[in-house]
Amino acid sequence: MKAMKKSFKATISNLIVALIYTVVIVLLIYVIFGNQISVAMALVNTISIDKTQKVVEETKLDLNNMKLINYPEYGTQYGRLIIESVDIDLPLYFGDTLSILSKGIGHSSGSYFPGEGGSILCAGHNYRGYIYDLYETKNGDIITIETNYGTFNYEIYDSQIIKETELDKVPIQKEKEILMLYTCYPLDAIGHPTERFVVYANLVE
Amino acid sequence: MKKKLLVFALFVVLISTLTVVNAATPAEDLKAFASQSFTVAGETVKLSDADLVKLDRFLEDNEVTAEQVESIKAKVNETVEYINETGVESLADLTTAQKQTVLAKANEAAQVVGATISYDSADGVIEIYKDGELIESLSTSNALAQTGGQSAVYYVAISVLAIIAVASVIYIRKK
Repeated sequence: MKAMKKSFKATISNLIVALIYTVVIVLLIYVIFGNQISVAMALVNTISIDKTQKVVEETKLDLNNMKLINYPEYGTQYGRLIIESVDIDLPLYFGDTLSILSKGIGHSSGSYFPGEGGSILCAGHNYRGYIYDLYETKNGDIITIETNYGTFNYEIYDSQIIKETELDKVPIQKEKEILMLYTCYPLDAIGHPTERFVVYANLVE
Repeated sequence: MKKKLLVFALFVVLISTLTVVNAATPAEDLKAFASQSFTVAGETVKLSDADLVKLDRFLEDNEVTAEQVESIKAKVNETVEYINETGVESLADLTTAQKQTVLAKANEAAQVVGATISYDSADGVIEIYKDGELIESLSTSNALAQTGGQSAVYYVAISVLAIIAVASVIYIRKK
């Protein structure tokens, strides 16, 4: 019995020491390599030989009718989304499946394209190397969408935290061209975040 | 069956018959039909604004004939009638077999024009394929896309480190 108690105490002692070592090592890794870990994961996710790397060349904007001619294929990259103020520059894909979001910004197929005069709904992961720094944007910051049919600049005028099911907070309409870009909230959430951080931006040129 | 699944099933029926390119078609007639509300199992079902954008986009690239529009309307009404005849008081009360029947009706229409529907009940995602290419992905949940939760990866890594650390400390101390 005494031997068992002694052994148990020794095991607990070992566990405590091991956990302390683990915490210290993890903190050191995060502090030193935190950003690089996420960037590395982002790079790994972009290594792909599937058709999502294909860039559509023939899409055009019909300015008279404010509609695209030859829409990009679902799942393909058709541009880039850039926010210079927070150093975000990512490929922009048509569609917002999990596979697409692992490679860059996803553009919801249930919204309009840049230049069509309506709501544009885009999403990106809240990881470093993606749009983690979206939280740091301010009213007045410019979001640029470069496409193979034109470049569009949007000025942020509002941001809010909404529930994932509050679709009325990201309305799809065709009266005015508004870009809505969202990501999960809060940062570093465990499991399934149920909120989204959304920025709203008006087309300025 | 969730209401959203029915809405997308109806949407799939609509879209699947639009991929055949024929002569000029009454697209506006179809949009008007798609914009209306349907009463199914006592619930009001209607395509969302986002769904109508997708439909509009398809019609920009694909023309439909008057016959196709009538066929689409018939398929939608057939699906609605089937569900109402089951006697369920809510779409959520549909059995698995009944849900499969609804999806089968949508797939029958899709296969006529070479499209197929894939439904992942775990993710609640409906994928529409034509000629082996994914042409649309629809979620049956009324929620925005999941764009976070990476911390789970870190916690797995931490757990592995913890196991290694525990083993190392025990080994060193025993020596």
